[in-house]
Amino acid sequence: MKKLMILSIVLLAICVMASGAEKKPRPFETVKVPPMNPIKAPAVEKAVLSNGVKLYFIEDHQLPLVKIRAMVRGGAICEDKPGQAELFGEVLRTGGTKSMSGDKVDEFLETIGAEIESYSGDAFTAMWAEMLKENRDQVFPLFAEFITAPAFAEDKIELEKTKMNSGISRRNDEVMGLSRREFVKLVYGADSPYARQLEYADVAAITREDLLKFHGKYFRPDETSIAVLGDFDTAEMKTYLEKLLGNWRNDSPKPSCNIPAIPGPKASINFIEKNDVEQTTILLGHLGLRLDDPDYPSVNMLSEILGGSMSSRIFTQVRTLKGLAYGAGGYMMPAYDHNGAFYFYTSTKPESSKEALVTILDEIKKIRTEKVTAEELKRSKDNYLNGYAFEFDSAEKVARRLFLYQFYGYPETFSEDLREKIEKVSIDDVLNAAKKHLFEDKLSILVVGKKEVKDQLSSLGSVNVIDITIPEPPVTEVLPEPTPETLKAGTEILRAAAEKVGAKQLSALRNASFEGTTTMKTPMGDFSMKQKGFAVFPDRIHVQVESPMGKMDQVVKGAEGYMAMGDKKRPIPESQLRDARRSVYLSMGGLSLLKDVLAGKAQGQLIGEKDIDSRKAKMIVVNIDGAPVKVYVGADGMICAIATRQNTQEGPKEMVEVVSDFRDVKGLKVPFASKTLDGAEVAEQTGYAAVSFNVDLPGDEESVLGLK
Amino acid sequence: MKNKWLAVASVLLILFSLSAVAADDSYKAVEKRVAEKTLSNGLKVIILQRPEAPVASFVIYANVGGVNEQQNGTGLAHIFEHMAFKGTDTIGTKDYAKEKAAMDKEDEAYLALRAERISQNPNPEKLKVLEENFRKAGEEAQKWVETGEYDKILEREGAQQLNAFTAFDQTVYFYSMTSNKLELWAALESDRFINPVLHEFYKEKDVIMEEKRMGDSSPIGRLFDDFFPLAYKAHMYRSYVIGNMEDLRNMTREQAMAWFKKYYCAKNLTAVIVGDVDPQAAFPILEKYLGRIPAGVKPEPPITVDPPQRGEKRMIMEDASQPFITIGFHRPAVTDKDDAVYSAIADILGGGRSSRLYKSLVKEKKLAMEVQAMPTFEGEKYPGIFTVICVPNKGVKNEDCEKAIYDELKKIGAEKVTDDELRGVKARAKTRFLGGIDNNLGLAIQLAFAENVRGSWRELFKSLDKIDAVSQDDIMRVSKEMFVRNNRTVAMIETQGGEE
Repeated sequence: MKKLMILSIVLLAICVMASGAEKKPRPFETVKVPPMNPIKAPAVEKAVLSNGVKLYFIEDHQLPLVKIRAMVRGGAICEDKPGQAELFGEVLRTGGTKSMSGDKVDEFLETIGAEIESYSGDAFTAMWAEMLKENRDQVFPLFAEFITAPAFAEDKIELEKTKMNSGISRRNDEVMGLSRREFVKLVYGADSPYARQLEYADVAAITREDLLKFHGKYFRPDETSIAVLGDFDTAEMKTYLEKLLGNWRNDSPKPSCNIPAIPGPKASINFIEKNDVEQTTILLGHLGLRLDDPDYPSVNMLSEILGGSMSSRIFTQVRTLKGLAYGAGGYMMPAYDHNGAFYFYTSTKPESSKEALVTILDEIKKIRTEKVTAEELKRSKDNYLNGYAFEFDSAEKVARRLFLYQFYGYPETFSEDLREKIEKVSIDDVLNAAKKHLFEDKLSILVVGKKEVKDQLSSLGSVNVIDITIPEPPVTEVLPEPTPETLKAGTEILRAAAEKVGAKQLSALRNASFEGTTTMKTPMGDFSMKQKGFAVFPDRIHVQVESPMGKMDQVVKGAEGYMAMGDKKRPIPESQLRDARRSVYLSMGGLSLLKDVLAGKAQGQLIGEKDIDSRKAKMIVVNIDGAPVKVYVGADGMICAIATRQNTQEGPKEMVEVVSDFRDVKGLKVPFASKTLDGAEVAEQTGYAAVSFNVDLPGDEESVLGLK
Repeated sequence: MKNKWLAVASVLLILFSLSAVAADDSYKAVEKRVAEKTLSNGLKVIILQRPEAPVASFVIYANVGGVNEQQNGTGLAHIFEHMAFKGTDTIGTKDYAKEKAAMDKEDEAYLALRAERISQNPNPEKLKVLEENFRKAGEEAQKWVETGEYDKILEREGAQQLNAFTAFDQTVYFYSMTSNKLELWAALESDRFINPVLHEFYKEKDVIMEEKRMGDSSPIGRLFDDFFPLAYKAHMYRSYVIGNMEDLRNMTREQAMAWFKKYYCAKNLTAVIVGDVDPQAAFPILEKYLGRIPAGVKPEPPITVDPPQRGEKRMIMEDASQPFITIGFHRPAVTDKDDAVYSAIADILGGGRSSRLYKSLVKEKKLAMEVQAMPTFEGEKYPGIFTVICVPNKGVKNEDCEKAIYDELKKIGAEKVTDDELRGVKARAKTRFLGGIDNNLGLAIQLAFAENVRGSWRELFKSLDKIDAVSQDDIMRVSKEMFVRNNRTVAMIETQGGEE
């Protein structure tokens, strides 16, 4: 008996000790959490103006502010031209109204600390305003006028286009923006309004008429909703808005914009080379669901577990356990009126690119084949449900949701309904949703990184290399096609000019030496530089320039060339080389060109008469090195100007060289003065001190040109 | 309040001013609702009750940041911020006793590896062996880790806006939850700042090094990484908070713990709560949990002062990307009496489409697509940098933008700004401030900043008065003194392949 007692005491002791070794409740686990205070959803009053504008009022007298949020149906999916909606959304505000210019609006609003802004999205155009309550009567009428009578001032369109073009030129600089843009193109198709990538030609093609047309078509009372939030009285505000907007009409036929067709998901592995990065950026996914899809609640839970939080599978594997990345995760981002997209991402150092990608792929595969754990599902649900109160924590959130539900035809109770459905999602639901909507064999995979990373991908399948070079802006001018008549006429004029310059000497022309001074006009002042050199026609030159920074040599030898200063030598890139060759060919009043005309090697197309530098001249187009050049011949039958399209710091520009001060040198008439015009401004002026032809070059040609 | 009559008088004054100019001073009514208390251990708590929605934002502000770091120890403030999410001796571990033993072994293995690596002539064979030892020791330690437990707890409880950031002057931890979870928050927060355990330290360093690579993958990120060391000679504002890659690689768990012990004492922490929380009910709860944090010794502030800049500093970074330029001018800390003037100057120069720089560079001369002016850049508590940044339009050179910017900077120092411009600064400050009050988290962070950077949370509510007091003469005087060439640091991106 005693033995048994001792044994049981010992056993008991062991049990006690064992349970002691188990975790005792941790401090936070003993906290009793009282019930949540009730959600006080802000009260919303609804009304409709006599012309159909829908109104929502949310009063809040805490602070003396008033805010307006407006939505009008009409966005990128309604465009006739790519970029039309984007430009519309910007210039709607910056372009001012019928009664107040954009600049005046800016000054007026900013002086009273108020704001009016606008932008256009996929399906709608949004406008909003904020002001101190005391400024209501100044700002509201202006806001109303932006809706009914925006001016779309031409200079503001130009300004916005300039900014858009600058944006295009920069679109590959930051890897985040570049990756997202290219990824969306893969999922929705490159031409989809949802993928919206504008080129310079697109921007150039949009006109003021296009913007006015968009406004006239889509801005109508029956497709406009306005919410007013803040410190005001609803009844008074309603009367006030009726006064401001009640007479607004749009009797044009009601337009409709179709949701564009979206191609189904298709597997692809894509690589973009970007070498100025320390990480590889990886994006993968495919088309997803609409927000009102019956499977959305399950997919929401699925994507939360897979990649939507810091305790999600992708985050845990890629970042926490493997330390491969700072950013890692993903989710299914729904859209109201079209399919959203699954979107998984990470960025990692180049060496671990494949490992990170494969880790994500493995998690996608796993969640399609194995059920998630009860703990994971519960945690994701708790997160959603415990965060639900935040959907009502500001008047703005409530207003925005109301707007969007009404706009997209969703029931007002959608948020509550969704919450109920999420509460009911089961482990089987999640697995079925994964099998039905997430496909590891239909993923668009995008990898952006250093050149050597591409090789890591080859074992995963065939890799498309995406070229992200930005296409240059179009040449805006279209010249008429040459005809035998215009070619004959043009060539005749040039031949006559060649005769005037000195036909015999032209035929024997080989080289020239020159000495002169060039003055360049810059925003920082005029810079004069002495220069001298030799030109060996048609396409070789050696110029030595005395610049403020020292002596600089420029050598062009047909297909090659370089610039040198001191012991530093740099090759001239091809784009500049072309301009340089052509410049030699056209130098000194177009001597090489005229020589070729005499020899029957060059032709000119007569276009017509034009004013150049305040004189009338005949404009003749000659094709040189594949590009058109405009040669102007004055009333005296001599070439007076030559216009070429050059690659400048500001992009391709037409520069006109006007020549004068013709003097006779060894029987050739050559201009000793020239000025280069950039539009109306003089960019550069050159005066020659000495010119000579067919000189005996000191040493042979090659060494004189510094080419050995 | 010490003087009872003063207290009564000030309440009367507030009531009077409320009734006289109710709408205008509504934010002063907000100020009145702010309650503060210093706990028994010196930890300051600030609570603003906003019962509009049953939620609250919770902020722990540590008065420590990049500015407290030393050369060769950069990145430590941020490293600790990451580690604060790893858990404690009861969160994030399967068995702390076993894990601690394994972590100690892991640290030993790491120190041996590190010693060889940083030695003058590291032996490759030896390194391989030491790396393998370290890796194995890490695997052993990992066995006892309950990965991501802290994150899971917060996710389950519905924490929103969960995040933290490390800056020059502070490290801030925050999230929002339904307000009934006040005590839960206090329990969790106090626990992790009393006995944090730096689980998975070395893996998390890898994560942080990826974070640095992320910043370095951006051309503008790279530029600013060099801009700060250029602008500052000695002061630790010179070191971008993420730290140098080699410092990160070589940081030890012990150094991170030492950092915590020195800087995360109660006297160096502030807790701010904004939302549906009753301060009087909350204070005892906060005393119960946050009051347990060791009082510690308030650490000495950094004493290095940068000498006045002797001449303009310039840096040109050749890059594949498009041009970009940033120009900085030294200015005093935000506690300077002229602080509001610096803010006014920045707003007149770059605050909106009718601002001077925007008008000149974007609208009239079409030199830039974007231009901004900021009264400080990242560091506020010590002498900072007034910064202008400019994104040139396609085909425009940085130097053309630079010249146009200097023209405007010269003008604002030579002629008085207009009445309308001054009026606009004050009006914009007001609407911005009022708009910010409706945001629990933003307001909580601003209160924490004001308390620690400017000396008192009340400074937040004084900011509008200070802006109102700024005169045209002030703006001219301060501009003239600041915008001089010697005081200038310029960093720019030039596209590769252009002229030299």
